[in-house]
Amino acid sequence: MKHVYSRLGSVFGAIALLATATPAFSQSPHTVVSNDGTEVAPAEASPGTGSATSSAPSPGPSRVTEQALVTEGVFLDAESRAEFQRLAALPDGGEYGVRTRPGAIETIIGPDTRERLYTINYPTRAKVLITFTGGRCSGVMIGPNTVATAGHCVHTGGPGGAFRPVASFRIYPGRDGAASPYGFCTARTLFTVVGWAGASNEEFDYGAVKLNCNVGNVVGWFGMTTANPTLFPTVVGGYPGDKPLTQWQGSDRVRALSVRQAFYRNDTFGGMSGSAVWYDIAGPYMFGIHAYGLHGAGNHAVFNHGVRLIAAVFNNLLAWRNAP
Amino acid sequence: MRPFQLSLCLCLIIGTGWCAHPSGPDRPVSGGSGSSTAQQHTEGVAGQITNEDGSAVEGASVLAAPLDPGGPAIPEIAIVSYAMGRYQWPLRAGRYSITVVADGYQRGSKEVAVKAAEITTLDFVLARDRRTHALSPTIREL
Repeated sequence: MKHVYSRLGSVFGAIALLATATPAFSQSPHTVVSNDGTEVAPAEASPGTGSATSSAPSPGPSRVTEQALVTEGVFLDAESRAEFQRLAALPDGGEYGVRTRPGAIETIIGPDTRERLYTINYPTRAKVLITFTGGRCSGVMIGPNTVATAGHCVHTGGPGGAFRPVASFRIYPGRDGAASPYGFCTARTLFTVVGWAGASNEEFDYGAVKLNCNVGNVVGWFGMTTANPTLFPTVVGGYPGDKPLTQWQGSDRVRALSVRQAFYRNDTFGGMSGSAVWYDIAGPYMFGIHAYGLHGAGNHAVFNHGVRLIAAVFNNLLAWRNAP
Repeated sequence: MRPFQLSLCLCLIIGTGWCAHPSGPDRPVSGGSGSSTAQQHTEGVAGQITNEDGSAVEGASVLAAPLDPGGPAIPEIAIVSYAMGRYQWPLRAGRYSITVVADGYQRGSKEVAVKAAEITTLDFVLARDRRTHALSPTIREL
């Protein structure tokens, strides 16, 4: 009998141990995780207009120079320098768009209305191509050395998932085809949250890349806002996998909202994960991060979508941006 | 109580899912250098992309679209072939259309059924696109 009590004691002991060993079950899904254990507490957001909070965009200097890029720690090779000179020679305001031919796959809704963008100007130069072993994504500068992107671009997500190999990351601001006019940077730290890394929950599919350079001081960065985006126009631009490393964007408006996600009909494609969902109001303000095409049912089946910048998301992005 | 007995108790109490991840789903996530998608996931599609000459095609985008109604969410990442033209796409069990896009080649597309806890092999042989840079965007300065 004593033996039975001992076993029961062991079981209850195990339950008690389990209860203390799994505090993260009650963790907020927005709890930050990083590839190297870097801990970052959510920042206190500055009050903006109304009930929303916002962080201002920065266009960077009006004239970008090679010297400025080098000073900020950007890698520039001969090809990048030549392309930089070519783009610099284009007329100011050189965002030339062209509609692609209709008929594509996956998340092109109706005719393909994506437009190609040159990257000479802000804010196109503040959007980035992210490459790593085995994949590519898009992202957007949100500070001197921080890129916002989708969580799955930095971590494969869920049990059995892992951070993507940080050493393989290359971040190309304003990449334009074969050339990188603003060079590239490597990654120092990858961030996402428990809701993505632990559970693959698409409602928490956001993250960030901390860079080994301060290229944002040159190419600028996007603003962010938690404003309720009902009926907002939506611009989604990034680096679709069916195009040769060029930047493309589509325009639409917010079609539906859930508590944590925004839905729109902008044409997107694999590779555009991590693109800012933004609109222009005295500068580019991001209010979402694109991550998914059509799947499942309901709004998910008819609209492309991504995480909204609700307060918890905004605060984490701000904390990642402000982290040393 | 020996550690093994403790683990056994915990497994019996909360199920085998926890046992597969001994440190629990709340474990700290760190050590990003060196781990890759395929090393961590046990189901999905993997294969090699070559051209008609048998040469590896690196840098091709591999795109997945669900075929089952109400299929799972697929992130809009561009999975890209790397050394030796190999690629790895972690996907949940289900039916998918896999499309390969590479500059200078015609698109390749196949349907595949991914089974639970299995990596399904799916290779592609891409035909050259006789049109010059068919996938390159045509730029028209406005």
